[in-house]
Amino acid sequence: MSRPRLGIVQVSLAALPVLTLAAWSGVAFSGQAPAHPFASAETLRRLGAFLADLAGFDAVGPAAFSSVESWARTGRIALDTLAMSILAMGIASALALALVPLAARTVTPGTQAGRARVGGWALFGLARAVLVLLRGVPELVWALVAVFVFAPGIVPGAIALGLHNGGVLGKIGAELAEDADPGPVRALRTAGAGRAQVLAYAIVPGLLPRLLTFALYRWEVAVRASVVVGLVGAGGLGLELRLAMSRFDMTHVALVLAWYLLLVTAVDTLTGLLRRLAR
Amino acid sequence: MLSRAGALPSTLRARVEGRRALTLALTGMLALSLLAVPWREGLLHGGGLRAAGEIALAALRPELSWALAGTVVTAAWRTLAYALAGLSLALVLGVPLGVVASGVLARTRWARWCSVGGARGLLGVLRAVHELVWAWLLVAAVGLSPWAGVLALALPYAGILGRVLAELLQDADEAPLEALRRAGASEAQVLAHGRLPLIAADAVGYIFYRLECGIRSAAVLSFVGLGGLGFHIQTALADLDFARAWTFVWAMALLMVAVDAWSSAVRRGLAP
Amino acid sequence: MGKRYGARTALWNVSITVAPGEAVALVGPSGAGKTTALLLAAGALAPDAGSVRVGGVDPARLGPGRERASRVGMLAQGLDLVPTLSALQNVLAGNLGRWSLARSLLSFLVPQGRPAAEYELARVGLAGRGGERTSRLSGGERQRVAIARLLVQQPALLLADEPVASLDPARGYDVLALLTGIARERGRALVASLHDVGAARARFDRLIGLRAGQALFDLPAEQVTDAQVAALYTLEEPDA
Repeated sequence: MSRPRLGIVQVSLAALPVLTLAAWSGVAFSGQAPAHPFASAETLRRLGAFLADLAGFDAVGPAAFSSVESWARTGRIALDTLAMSILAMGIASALALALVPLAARTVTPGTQAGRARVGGWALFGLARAVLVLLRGVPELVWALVAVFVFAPGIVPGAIALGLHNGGVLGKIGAELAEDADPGPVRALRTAGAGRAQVLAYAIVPGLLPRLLTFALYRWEVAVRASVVVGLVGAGGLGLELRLAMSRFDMTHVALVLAWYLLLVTAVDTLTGLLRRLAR
Repeated sequence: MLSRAGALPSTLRARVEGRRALTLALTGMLALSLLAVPWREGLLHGGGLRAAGEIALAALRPELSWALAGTVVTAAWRTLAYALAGLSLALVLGVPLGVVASGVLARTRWARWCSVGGARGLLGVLRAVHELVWAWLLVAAVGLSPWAGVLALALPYAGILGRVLAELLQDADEAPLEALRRAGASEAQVLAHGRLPLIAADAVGYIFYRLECGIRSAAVLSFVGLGGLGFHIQTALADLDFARAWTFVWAMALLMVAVDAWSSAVRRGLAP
Repeated sequence: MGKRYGARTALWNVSITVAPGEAVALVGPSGAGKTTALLLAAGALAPDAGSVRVGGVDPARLGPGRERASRVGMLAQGLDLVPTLSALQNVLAGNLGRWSLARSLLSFLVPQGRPAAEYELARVGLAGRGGERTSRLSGGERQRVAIARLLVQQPALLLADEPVASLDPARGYDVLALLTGIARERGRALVASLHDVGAARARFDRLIGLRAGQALFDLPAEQVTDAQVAALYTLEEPDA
C-alpha cells in the first residue's frame, strides 16, 4: 500500500533520462563531422570575427545601421512583418472558431452519450485530424508549401503562420470547451435547448476570454516565427535577413536583427497592455 | 465613506469597457493589416491553384515504400534526439536562471530587485530570438556542427522554461511555506521542501509540453542543414516531389501525436 | 498583553500564563481574539502593549529560525502541509530548523532522522502510512500528519488554532485527546482555541473565556459554570 504505484508518471520519469542519454550520443555520433571541434579556440575566434562583422569593424563603406534612410527602409519591412503576424492571427482565429464546435466531444453533433451517431464521430475524428495536421506541421513547412501557391510577399507568410496557429488555437479551444463546467450545459439541455443554443449560451461565453488570452500569447510566438517563414521566401524581415546574409552584408544583418528585436519587444509590451484590458 | 453598492457596478462597468476596448483594438489592428496586402497584384502565383491542387492530392497519396521507411525512421529519431538534447541543455541553463529570476532566495529587497531584474532581462533576450535565427547565427558564426543545433534549441527554450519556472515559484501557495518557516526552515529549505514539491507536477507537465514543441523546433532546425525530418521535407519540395514530402510531413504529425498522447497521459497521472 | 488592528482592539489587558504539561483552551465566539492571542504567543505578531515570554524569551525578538522553532510550534487552521510530498517527508520537515541545507536536501534521497518521524507517526495513529502521498490522505489523517510534524519540531509551547473545526465530532474528540495527552506525557504547554466548550471542559485542564478581546474567566475546567459559558455567547451582540 505504502509503496508508490508504478504508473505512467514513474515509467516516464525513468525513461526520460535514458532517452536523453541516447539522444546526446545520437547527436554526438550523428556522422556530420564538423570542420573543427565545437569546444575549441577556433570556435571562439570565429565567433569573435562574426560579431566584429556584425558591428561593421572591417566593412567596406559605411555600416547599414549608420544611415537614417536604411533604418527607415527596414522599418517599413518590419511594419509589413507586423501586418503579416496580425493577419496570421486573424486567419488562425477564424480557423479555430470554425473547427472547435466540431472537435469538442461535449458539443460536436452526434457525439454525446444517448444520441451518438457514426456520422458525428466521423466528423469529430476528421476535425481532430485536421487540427493535428495543422498544428503538427511547423510554420516553416507550411511556408514552403505556401510559396508554391501564393505570390511572394506577406500573404504566404500570413497563411503559413495562420495555418499552424489555427491548429494550436483550435486544440486549446476544443480542450477548454470539453473542460467547460458541465453544470450549465446540463441545465440548458434539460431546459430543452438545442446544440447551437448550448454552445452559444453555456460554452462560448466561458471560452472566448480564455481563448483570447491564449491568442494574444500565440501572437507573441507568431511575431518571433515571422522571421522563420521569411527565411524561406515568404516576405518580411526574414526574407530581408536571408538576402543580407547571402550578400554577406553583415552590417545590414545587424540592422535587421535590431528591428526584429524591437518588433518582438513592442508586441510583447502591447500584448501585456491588452491583457490588462481583457482582465 | 465609500458606498459599497456604488463600488461594485463601477468596477463591473470598467471591466465591460475594457473588453469592448480590447475587441475594438484587435478589430482595428486586423483592418489596418489588411491594407498591407497587395490586393491589386493578385494573391496567387501563376499556376498557384494547380500547384495547390497537386499538393493537396499528394497529401492523400504519400510515397510509401520499404526503402523510404528506413530513412523516415532515422530522420524521426534524429529530430527526436535533437529535441531531447536541446531540452535537457535548456533545463540545465534555465532552471538556475528561473530560480534566480523568481527572487525567492533573495534576502534583502535590493538583492531581490537586482536578481529578478538581471535574470529576467537575460531570459527575455534568450527567448526573444527564434530558435531558427539562433541556429542561423550560430552556424554562420562557428560553422555547421550538431552542437550549434543543440545550442540553438537550448537557448530560447532556457528563456521560456526559466520564465515559466520563475512564475510558478512565485505563485506557489504561501500557507505551507509559512508553516515551514515557523518550523525554522531557511528560504533555501523552503524552496527545496515547499516551493519545488508544490510546483513539481505543473513543472513536469510543462516540460513534457515543451518536448512536444521541441520536436517541431528540431524539425525546423534541420533546415540549416542538420539532418532530420525537416531536411528531407525541404529537399523533397525542392525536387517538386510532393508525395515524398508528404511522407515526412505525416511522419512528423504522427510523432507529434505520439508525444502529445504521452505528455497528456503523464499530466493526467500527475494530477493530485 | 494587548493588540490593536487600526482602531479596533482585538485583545486588551489579557494575561495568560501556561505551565509545562498544562493544556489550556481558549474559548469564545468568533472575533473574540483567540487567533490573535495565539499569533502573539507564536511571535508572528508583536504586542502593542505588554509582553510575550516563552521560556523567558520574547519569540518575536528571536525572528524566524531555529531558536524560535524550538520554543513555539503552531498547528494552523489550514494545516499547511505540502500536498505533493509523502506524509513522512512532511513530518520530517519539522526538523528543518535544526538541519543544514545539505542535510535537508540529502533527506529527499535518504530520509534523515526517520525512526523519530516513524515513531511520531505511530503516536498519532498513522503507523506505516508515511509513504503515502499527503494529498491522498483524508482530512483527519492530514490533521494527524500536521501534529506529527509539530512533535518532530519539539517546541516547548504547542499552539493549535481551531484544531477540530473541519472534523466531524467523533474525530475531533480523538484529535483533542491526542493533543492534550501529548502535552501531559511530554511536559509541553498546550494552548488551543476552540468553539466547542463541551469538548474543552472534558479534555483541557484550564479554560479561558474570551469575548470582544477581554478575558471573562480563567478557571480550571471543572470550575467553569454553565452560566459563565452562556454569558460568553449570549452577550456577543447587544441586540441579538
